[in-house]
Amino acid sequence: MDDITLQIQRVLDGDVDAFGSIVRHYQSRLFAFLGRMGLSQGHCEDIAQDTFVRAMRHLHRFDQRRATFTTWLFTIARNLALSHIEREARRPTSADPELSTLIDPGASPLQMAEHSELLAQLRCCMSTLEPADRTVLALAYDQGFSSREAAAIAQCSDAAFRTRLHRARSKLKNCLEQADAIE
Amino acid sequence: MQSNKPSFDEVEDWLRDGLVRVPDHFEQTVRSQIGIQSRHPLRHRLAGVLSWCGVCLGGCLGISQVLRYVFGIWLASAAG
Repeated sequence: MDDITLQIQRVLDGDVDAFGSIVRHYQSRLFAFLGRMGLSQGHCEDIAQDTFVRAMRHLHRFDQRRATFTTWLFTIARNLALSHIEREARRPTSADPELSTLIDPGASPLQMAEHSELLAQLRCCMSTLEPADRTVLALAYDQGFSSREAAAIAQCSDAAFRTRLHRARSKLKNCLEQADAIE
Repeated sequence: MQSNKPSFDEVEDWLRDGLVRVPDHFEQTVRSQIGIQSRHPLRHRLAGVLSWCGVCLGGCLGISQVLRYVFGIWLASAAG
């Protein structure tokens, strides 16, 4: 029994505090995934929090025979992120006020300005991708997923995942090149 | 003049790192959310039941008012 399975069992046995180690284990990957979905810092925090709360609330429904806990957790996050993207598509976009916090504070003012502009451009280009393509892109850059796991979270076949990934990368690269943001 | 623009490979490195950071007190925030939920399950359930009772009671009152109104009209027309 691996550590996460052990923690899940402890939570199911009534030890709510054991869920803290599950949060610690997954939080970085989950935030990175949501960030790659093109969500702002604030929205990532809300959705990551909601993901963990829902996972805790529905943990008794998790069936190890059907999926790994990682697949199950990231599927919750994916569904919440896609619902959010759908809702946001109907609203006017606004700049992410926390974008500047991601930039290396040791960089020169010129570098900081360039990085800030590139990050904003990257988010803008990602927002032009289809939600399904964004999901694939967000999963593909996580080294921790097997191709089968990633395809299961994206809810498509392995072949469809690869096709979508190729298309999404090309679109993103073209968008950044057209915006003159990359070499 | 040499361009300072990054290559797509560098952009992909950024993507691998993720474009957001985990807030310092994130785990505590989730813990408090979960703690609140697990400490007060009865209160949440009671609130749900009470709100359903409120909706049902409101519905019944509304229907009875409509019936009274219809009955009043019928009574007035029957009395001639």
